[in-house]
Amino acid sequence: MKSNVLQAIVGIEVFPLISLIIFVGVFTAMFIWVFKMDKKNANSMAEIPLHDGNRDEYFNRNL
Amino acid sequence: MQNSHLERFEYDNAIVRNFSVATVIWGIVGFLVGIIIALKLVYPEFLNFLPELSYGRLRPLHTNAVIFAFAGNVMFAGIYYSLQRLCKSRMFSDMLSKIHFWGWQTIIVSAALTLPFGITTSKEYAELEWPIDIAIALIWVAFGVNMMGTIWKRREKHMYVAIWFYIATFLTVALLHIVNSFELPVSFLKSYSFYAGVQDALVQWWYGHNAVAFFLTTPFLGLMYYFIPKIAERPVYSYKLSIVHFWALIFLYIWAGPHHLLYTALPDWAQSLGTVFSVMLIAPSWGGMINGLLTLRGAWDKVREEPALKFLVVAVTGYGMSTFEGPMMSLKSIHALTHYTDYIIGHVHLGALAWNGGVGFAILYYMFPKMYRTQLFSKKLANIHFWIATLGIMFYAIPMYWGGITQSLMWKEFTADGVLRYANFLETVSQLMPMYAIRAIGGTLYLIGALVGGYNLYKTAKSGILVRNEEAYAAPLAKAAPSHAEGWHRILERMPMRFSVWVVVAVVIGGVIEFVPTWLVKENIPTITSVKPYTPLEIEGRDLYIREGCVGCHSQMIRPFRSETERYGEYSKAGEFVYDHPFLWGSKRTGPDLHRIGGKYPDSWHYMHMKDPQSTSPKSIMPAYAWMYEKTIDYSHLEGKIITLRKLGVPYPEGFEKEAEADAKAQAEKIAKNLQSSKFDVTADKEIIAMIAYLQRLGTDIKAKKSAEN
Repeated sequence: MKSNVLQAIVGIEVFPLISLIIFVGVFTAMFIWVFKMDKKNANSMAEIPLHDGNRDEYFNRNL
Repeated sequence: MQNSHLERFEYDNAIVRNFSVATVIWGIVGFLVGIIIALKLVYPEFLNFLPELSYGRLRPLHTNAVIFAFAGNVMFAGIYYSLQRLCKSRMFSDMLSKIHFWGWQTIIVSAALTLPFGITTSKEYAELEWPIDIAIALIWVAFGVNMMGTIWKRREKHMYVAIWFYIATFLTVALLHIVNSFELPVSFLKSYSFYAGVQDALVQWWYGHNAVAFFLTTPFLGLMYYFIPKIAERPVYSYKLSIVHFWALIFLYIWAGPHHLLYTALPDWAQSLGTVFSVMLIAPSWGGMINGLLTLRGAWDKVREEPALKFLVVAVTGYGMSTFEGPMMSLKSIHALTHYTDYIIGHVHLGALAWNGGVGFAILYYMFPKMYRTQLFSKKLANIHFWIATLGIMFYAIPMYWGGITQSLMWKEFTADGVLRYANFLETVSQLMPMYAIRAIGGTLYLIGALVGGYNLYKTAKSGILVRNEEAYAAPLAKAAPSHAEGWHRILERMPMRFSVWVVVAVVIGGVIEFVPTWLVKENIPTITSVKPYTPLEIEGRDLYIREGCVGCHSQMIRPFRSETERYGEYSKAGEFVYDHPFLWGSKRTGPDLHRIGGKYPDSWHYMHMKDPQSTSPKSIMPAYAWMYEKTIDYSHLEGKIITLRKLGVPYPEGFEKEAEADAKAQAEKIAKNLQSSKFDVTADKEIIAMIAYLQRLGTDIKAKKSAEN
């Protein structure tokens, strides 16, 4: 019954295909980019939360 | 770095303090209401002398308080604290910060002033009525503008991963809230959902699931990515993994909503889609958990010393456990066992108490001494809080898991002769009573912990002075053009607006693919000709059912299992709900399913049952509804209700609204006469009559068809 209902929708066949392409595309692109990412950049970004830039930190750093 | 290039600015700590204090206060209120309703399941008449304190009305108050007041406030506190420091900038606008804070508290108060009075839409975690919905949208936008503005004027070149999670939170919650809150007002405090039946269910659980994802998960992951490195004083284990975690999580999460509707009348393909994406979700979730825990590698000595880190370790572990359970319960075979049971209650509390509570208390313990320039008043008390809370979580979750599986197996057990072994639903409830009692103890332990924590934080604040504006220095961002060597994502990270567009694209794709076929199916939902709109009296009864929060304990969705069709009757069909604005399928069976309750018992049974549940159902833990025997039915909005429902597509003939009241009164008179003939002293104008009319209608349309065919 459900498949009959879905078959009544024009162009329904393309939906799963679009889903699959989007899905595989997104993940492939993401992984390629992450693996190609410069490790130094990643490390420098990971350091961001360690520095608040507040007064204590600033003056201690410059002692 | 030359001093002359540095800009001096100030972090706004006062707003963080405000949200933190609100967290502690609302947290205690939310936990307390939780304990009250837990006790009500053990002692049904506990505090039941006022309708405003009945179980059905307090349950949504508890969930809303814990989610939006406790978790919401602590998430804002953490975001306001970390965002400023990650951006090296004060919040964009102090005025918006204040509007956000006071607006959010006003919304919480208005929730507390409406839900106990039965003013509710009944849609889980979206119970608040339309004026409050609008207020939420406005305040949320104020928060978003403030956040995006801060990112815009930041002095740090790159947006740290925590900020991505915050942006995704803001955008997705806005989208979810607006789409799910489409409703047509009948009066100032009453509306009907724009969607009906299957559509309403799909939208609601797309919302419900992603509210957990984007209100209780992504912001807290952002907090995890800031505060674990901060407290452990070392960078996150793998920044690359955090990127994968982020994109995979937000891309996958949005598709998974239908796993709340497995085996329901939702089309099968949508159920399968939900299952597939839910199972995949385990990968980014565990990636994130591992990333959080491995950040502590080599710093475990700090965990021993630092109560905040202890809370974070339990939080991240709880996150890992919850996100393992989630995908597992999305498998149809496991879902069949756990759904509608207390297992789900255990699951969500593991998430709420360990993950949200853990992250929440950890960051409060970290931020208070920093903001007040002092030491934590007592590490010992914080450790006591930690152990009581952890114990509380175990005392809560384990009985719920145990009880949930026990009850489910009892529901499904057949004798050798092929009949249900526990045909009386209450036999399965009685089995759970010890579990319910232990759960109340678990909740109490957690509350005691929170009180100890609140005291400790108060004393910490007293021992220091709040640095309302914390002085900070950073170099301004150079306005240079991006160099060619930069990757596109690094450029993206510097552009919050473009980044946001990508986030929206990622979350919208899942939603669109899920919704479009469902909308197209709308016209094609197999209509059942015998399914007719509710009569005016039944509408009033249905609204009372919504007011009393019956949906909190009773489902209206019989799954296609033999154990369910034997117990309740024919399984539920999509076409039976086409006039249900909102749908009332429910998600928990503390009591039995009611979809085929209509015609199962005489009116007199319902009359006695609602007055004194134990008189008809010994050992029942349902509270009595004494007030429904005294209050008269309020027909003043009936005309508006008919007009509104017609606008939403329910085929009431033109002009019917004028006859509705007379129609309702005639039907009420019939029911009252019937009851009077059974020697009950009742008049036709009492609320109980409308309630009986609705209950007796439930699920009978299909029966009517069958008897017509015979």
